[in-house]
Amino acid sequence: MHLAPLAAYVLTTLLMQGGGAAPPPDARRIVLDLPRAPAAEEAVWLNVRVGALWRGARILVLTDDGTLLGAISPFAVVPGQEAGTYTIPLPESAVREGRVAVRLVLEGPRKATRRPTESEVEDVGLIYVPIKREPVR
Amino acid sequence: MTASFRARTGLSRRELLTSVAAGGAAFLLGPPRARGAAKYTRYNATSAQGKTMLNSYAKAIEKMLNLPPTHPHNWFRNAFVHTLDCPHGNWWFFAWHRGYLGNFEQTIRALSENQNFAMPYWDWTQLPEIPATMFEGVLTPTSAAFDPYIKSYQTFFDYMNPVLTTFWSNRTPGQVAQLNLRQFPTLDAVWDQVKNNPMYATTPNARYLSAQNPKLDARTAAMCAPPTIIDGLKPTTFIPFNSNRTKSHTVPPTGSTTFSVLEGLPHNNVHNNIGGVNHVPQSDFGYMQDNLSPTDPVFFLHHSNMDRLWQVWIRKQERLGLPTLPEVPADRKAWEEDPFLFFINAAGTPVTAKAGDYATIGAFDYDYEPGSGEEVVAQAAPPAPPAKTRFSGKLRGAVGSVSVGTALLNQAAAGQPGRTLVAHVTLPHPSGPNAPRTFDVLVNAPANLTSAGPDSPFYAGTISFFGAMRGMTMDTTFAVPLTKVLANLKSGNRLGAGELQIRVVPQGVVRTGLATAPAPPARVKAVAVEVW
Repeated sequence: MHLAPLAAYVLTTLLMQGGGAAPPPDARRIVLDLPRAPAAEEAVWLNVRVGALWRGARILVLTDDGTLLGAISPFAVVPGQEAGTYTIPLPESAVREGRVAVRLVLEGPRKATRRPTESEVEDVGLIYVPIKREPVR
Repeated sequence: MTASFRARTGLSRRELLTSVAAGGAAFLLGPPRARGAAKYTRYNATSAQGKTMLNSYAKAIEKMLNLPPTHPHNWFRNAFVHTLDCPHGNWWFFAWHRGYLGNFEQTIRALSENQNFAMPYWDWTQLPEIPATMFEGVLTPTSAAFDPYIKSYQTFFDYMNPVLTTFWSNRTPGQVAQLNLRQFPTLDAVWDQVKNNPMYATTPNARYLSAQNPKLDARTAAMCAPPTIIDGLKPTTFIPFNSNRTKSHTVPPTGSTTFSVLEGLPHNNVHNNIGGVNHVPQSDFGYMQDNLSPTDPVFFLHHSNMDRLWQVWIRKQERLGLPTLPEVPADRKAWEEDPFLFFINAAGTPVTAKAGDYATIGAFDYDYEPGSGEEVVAQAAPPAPPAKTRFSGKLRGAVGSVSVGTALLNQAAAGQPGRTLVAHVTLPHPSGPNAPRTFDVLVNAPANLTSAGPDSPFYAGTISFFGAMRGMTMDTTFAVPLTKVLANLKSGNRLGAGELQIRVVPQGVVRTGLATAPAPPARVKAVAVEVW
């Protein structure tokens, strides 16, 4: 592996494994209760419904400790229209005591990162996704 | 472990050996990658073979740039196919892009005169930066070769508008309907989005990432990293692996359309990062950040990788005996029948296709050098043998009731490997020349159904004694596979709750002296079901 990809991989790993910076204090925090415990072959993931954003904006979905869970970057959306609902996988550790807490921030070029408004992130919900767990080796 | 071994297989030798031990004979008989049979191989763009393919790709791009816009293989006309027709945020995303890329690949094969050409893929999980070769010559839209056509918006408009006007006047009714759904009622509406969305960029701004700054930003790289890719491959059903269903593939995303993990996260972020979203003011965006993105040659390497991941998911599903398409017949039909009306083939003629044509790689006849995510196929363990492999039935006349359990029944109906159910029907040998010798086997058929052929959802098969064999008195047991009838019953919601009613019905009539009469009921001696 070349040095540059290695450096990028290390950064990526840090971001994905809890090494990210704490989210901005004005991030929008959302706590969701699980309607039920997931079945043996289900994962609990997030659906984030995104409204109309200005071109170039991106919604970051973070844990309380700043770990990046998802970066929502709308593509091929008609200007001025809602950007769609995005599926964000959650690690099992994101579910604590039957709840999931996430923080949302909005970032864009040459603008301060801030919490998204109610019209920029319209809804956040949990979904149960059928998966096959890896067999224990 | 050697780096090249991991690059080829996506596995360390230890992981491979572990998979062999766990997967057993199925792994040994069927390697975790379905390679070797295809005519063409899509290589990793950074491999030696991949770089050779990029040379051929560049040769063909140069020809396409030099073709007049009236030619269907003109570089920018090809890009407008995507502008006018691409699906995003719906369940046709993977299929449409397979068709678009497959036809394009055949065109490049012809124009490059490389008979083995197949589009390399950019494995952004392994390499979160644009491959260096893609900054050379015509492989970047910032090249001088693009300048005569895109140096200004007016230049681009004057170059493309006449041929697009001709195209617009000659659209088929189907194309008109789809463009209306896409909110393109007029050609002016298309140009308005090209200019003001914007989709268009001047040559210097055609691609945000550069040879000096080739790396995906940290957020995008995170969305391409193994955890996200592996999660994206996890769903065991068509949705949510795919984005959701919409009225037509051509409908733009709205708030209610749900993006899958792979489309919404790595796909979108890679497009937008290369196009400069989140880094530059709107007026400076490059091509990759919107629907004129095939103007940038890296588009096709990006989508080759997306298609590769779809194929990884399909192979994982097949290994687990799980569906690769919508399970409800009406849903599956709706998915398969959606028409794709804008593709151009290697001969330069329009292609009329349906989504179902691209459910498999089919006539494109390519496979992939293994890349990131491949490990999910090896880790997809086939089901363990069932606890019980033979179920005896209780007879009532010619009907045998066999209780196999709901779980096994559903697995068998889904065609899962190791869960094939086979009925064993034991009959006495025909007692005379007029005795029935041919019988249909029906499953879960209504009591008043007296005959049913292969078109019936209850028909499992026909068993027949060969020859009269006078004097023979022994019983004979026939094996009748049930996979097809169970799938039919499941489709019609007639599978039941774990118990199969297996009925044996004699075919035709028998002679009784000079007259004929309906055949008497079959004298069934035993019915059982085995798991193969």
